[in-house]
Amino acid sequence: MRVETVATTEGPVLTAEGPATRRRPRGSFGGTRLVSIVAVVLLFLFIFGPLLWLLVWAFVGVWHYPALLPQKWSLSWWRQVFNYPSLARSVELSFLFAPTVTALSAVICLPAAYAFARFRIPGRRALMIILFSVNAFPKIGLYITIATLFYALNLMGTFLGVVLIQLLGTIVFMTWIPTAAFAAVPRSLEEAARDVGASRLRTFFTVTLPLAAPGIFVAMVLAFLASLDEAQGTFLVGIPNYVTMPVQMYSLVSDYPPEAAAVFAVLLSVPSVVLMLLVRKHVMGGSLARGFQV
Amino acid sequence: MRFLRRLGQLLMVAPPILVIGVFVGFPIAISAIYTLGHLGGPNSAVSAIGLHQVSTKGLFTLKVYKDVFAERNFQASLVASVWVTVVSVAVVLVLSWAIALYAWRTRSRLGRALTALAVVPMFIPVVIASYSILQFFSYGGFVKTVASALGMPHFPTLGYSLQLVVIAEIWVSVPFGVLMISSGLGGIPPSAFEAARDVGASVVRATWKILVPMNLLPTVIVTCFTGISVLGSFTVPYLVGPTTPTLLGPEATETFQSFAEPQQAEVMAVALFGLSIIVAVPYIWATYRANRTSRAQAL
Amino acid sequence: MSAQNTQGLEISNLMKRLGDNAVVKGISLTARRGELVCLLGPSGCGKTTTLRMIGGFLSPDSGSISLGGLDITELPPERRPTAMVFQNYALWPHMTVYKNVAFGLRLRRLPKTEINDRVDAVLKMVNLVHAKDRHPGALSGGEQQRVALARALVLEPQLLLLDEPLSNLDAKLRVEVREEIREIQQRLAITTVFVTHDQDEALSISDRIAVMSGGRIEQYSDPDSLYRRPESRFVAGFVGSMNILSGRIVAGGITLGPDGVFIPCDDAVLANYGGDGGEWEVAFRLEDVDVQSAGGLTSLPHRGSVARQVSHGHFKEVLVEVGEHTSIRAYLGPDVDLSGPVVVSVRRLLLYRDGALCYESHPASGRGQPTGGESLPGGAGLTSSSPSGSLR
Repeated sequence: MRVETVATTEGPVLTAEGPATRRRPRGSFGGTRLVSIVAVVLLFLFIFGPLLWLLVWAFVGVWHYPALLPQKWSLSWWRQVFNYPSLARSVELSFLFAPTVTALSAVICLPAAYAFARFRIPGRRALMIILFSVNAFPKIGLYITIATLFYALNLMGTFLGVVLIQLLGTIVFMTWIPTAAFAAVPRSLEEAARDVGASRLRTFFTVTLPLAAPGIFVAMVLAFLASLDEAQGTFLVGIPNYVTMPVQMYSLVSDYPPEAAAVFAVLLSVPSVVLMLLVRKHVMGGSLARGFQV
Repeated sequence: MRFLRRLGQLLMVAPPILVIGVFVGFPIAISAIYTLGHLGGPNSAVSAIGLHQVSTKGLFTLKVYKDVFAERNFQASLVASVWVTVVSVAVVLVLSWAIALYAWRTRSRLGRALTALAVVPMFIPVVIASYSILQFFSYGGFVKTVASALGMPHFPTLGYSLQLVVIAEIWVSVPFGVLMISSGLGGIPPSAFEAARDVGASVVRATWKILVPMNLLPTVIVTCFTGISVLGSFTVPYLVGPTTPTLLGPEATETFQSFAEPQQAEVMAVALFGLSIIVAVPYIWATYRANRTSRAQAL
Repeated sequence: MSAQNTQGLEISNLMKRLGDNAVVKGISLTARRGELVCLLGPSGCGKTTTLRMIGGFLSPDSGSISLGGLDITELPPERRPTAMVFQNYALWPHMTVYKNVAFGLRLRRLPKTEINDRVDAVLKMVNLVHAKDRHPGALSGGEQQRVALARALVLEPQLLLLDEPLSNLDAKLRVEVREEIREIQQRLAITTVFVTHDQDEALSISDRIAVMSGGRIEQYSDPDSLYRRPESRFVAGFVGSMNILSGRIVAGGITLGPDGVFIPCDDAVLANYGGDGGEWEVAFRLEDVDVQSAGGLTSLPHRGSVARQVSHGHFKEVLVEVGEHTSIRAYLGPDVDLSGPVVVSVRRLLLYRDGALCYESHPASGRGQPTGGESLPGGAGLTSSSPSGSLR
């Protein structure tokens, strides 16, 4: 909050500075303007081009190269995809796994994040870095030997097995980002609550948690997306009982024409886009960035 | 009482450490032993299905490492991995800095819009991103179609090339870069920059001498994290890249799944891990340093 | 008097180490009911640590704190009848002004109507009724400060703690708000401990001031005696402006500095202290210095010249060079014009040895006061001869 106040007071200073910079004689005014417009267009094309291209393909009936637009539009592939036998099941599974993994990850990591932020944990920094660097071990190398462990624990092909394998990818940011969020709550705000008579627990729930909520929220959405996105580990552990959407996507890409894959991809993006709109403000507000500089 | 409180605090920290220790640390340790020629014990299940395995009765053998490193395919993939990583990271850094700097300097609506735009890929599943980028740039894709409409029917397509892998890696990594750099810049008072301009530094010089050093930690973080994620990536090179040379991620997967050589695949994983750790060194150094100075200021 | 005393705050022998630092090294202090006590000192003197121990945010290593005769040393902050105004206000940004103020009352499960009434009343007292439904982020610094004060006052605490509450305000507002705080404090007759590093602030609103240095209390007395009669060399240098020079006692005055410049001082008793011929730290206020044009008396040994003049509007500060290495600062009237040689004399001075006050002269009655072991009761008979109130 305080940071935001500072930012607003700095605002006018910069707007005042803006025109002065532009008045510099170096380079023609029109030239830099043109360059920035071209840059914006290229960036837009680079980021959104592929997605829009895919969106168009989802509604194609006939489209032969090199026509600029499809010769025939159609919704037939949507019907095909919806009739695809295991589609409904994979959507269902994805939306079963994602919340489960997110919740479990939160339960495991959030207390740790609070402890990392508020208590003197011996070797805190080392622990957090080990947490991350161990995660840098290539997934495939991990999966080869993790299989042994999963067989031994009877986790292969089970729901819990898939949850666990997806969970592994969420631990790091589910710990890091909320740690930063908790640490960013000024202690004096908690002390002020204790001062007027709130217990430790009460203080946590009325002051600390609400103020750290954006960071926690961002971490949870990222965990949700990570679970929704995870294909390799889910494939190895879940096959054949648990085929989630991204796993399905792999087979679709190789077995079906681009129209079907496009339809499926559009479907698969919907939850992500919705989530993005939900947390966009907090992600841009620095909740995520802070998590990497604890 | 104090002891109980300490214990409670440590118990709060324990769960994620335990999960990672058991399900990541332990398998890594087994993998390391496996690559050194120990096929029994926890590795017996894997070695039962493996081909071309090397075992040792001694303490360890480096034969698998020698074999794998002598393979042409592996060497090509190793080189490709490093090349793709270096280029991707460099472009991501330049692009992130350019966008963040533009937004910071102008504080305009356009700047904010650009930043928001660049963050979008973070929320798109990598499978879909890779697939759409492949469609966009390959034969029959947007680039080829527009080129031919503009009278360039022989415009090269990028489908299944390492260049396309680079493009897709950039697409996937740019959001993180822009977020980190712009968030770091947001913490720098404009007066720091203006003061440098005031004493006569050019925009470029003021940026290079003032903003970059002041924003070093986020820059190092972007470099290391992007580097590690590109090095270890699987989906992007698997979907949009060539079969050989590919990146080490798909190469190891292929070695395991298609050639049934888990031991060799693990060696590749260990090699990749070694590279990642090297890439992570600046990050670890930078955070320790930042932590020390901030603690010194607090006292 | 003594019955009231037990109603107030009583701190005895408080000690606290933070890490390897002994931050508070044995502090004892009492505040009568309704008294406003300032903890004044440079940063790092332990004043905030002391305040945080009173508030319950730090637990002391030893010593005790009692309030209204009740030992509260071991109580957690939420069970202490204290209320704190934090330096950065510590308002909860996700709650409106109303909710910030009402939070403590809600915790006490008071009926809704009573909460409403009390919040309204306290907001009225601090002139913030209009901002009731705003969030702290939308308020100015001064308004935020008042919300913090209201939040503390609404609980009707036995003890109000203020941690440098004015340090984030601009100069003009600071003066306004401190008067407001003093006014409210006196109206509610609420015992208050106020931490500041600003002596102006301390001198202008306190009943008593505890000057702290290095984790100890150097002096604890009312503002006037603190100003006129600093009991230690540290306080003499810290509170107000003071000329402090090494010197010796000679007949009719003192010789100062490495040059041994003679400065007359009309104090008969002073000569008694010259017996050992030893060196003193001689301290005298700027307003206790007389500077006059030397006129024809050019042969006098203590003549000097004005090296610098700074106008403060209603008075003038001058720097007089009385010797090659010795200069004396003085406050003069705004219209005094001194060019050419001047003569300097001192009306009233204090002598320190080993950091402790040993003697103070009192020129009006022509006799000095040895300060030996026992100290004087509450500054009685030490009414200052010059209008020190307007000076720093």
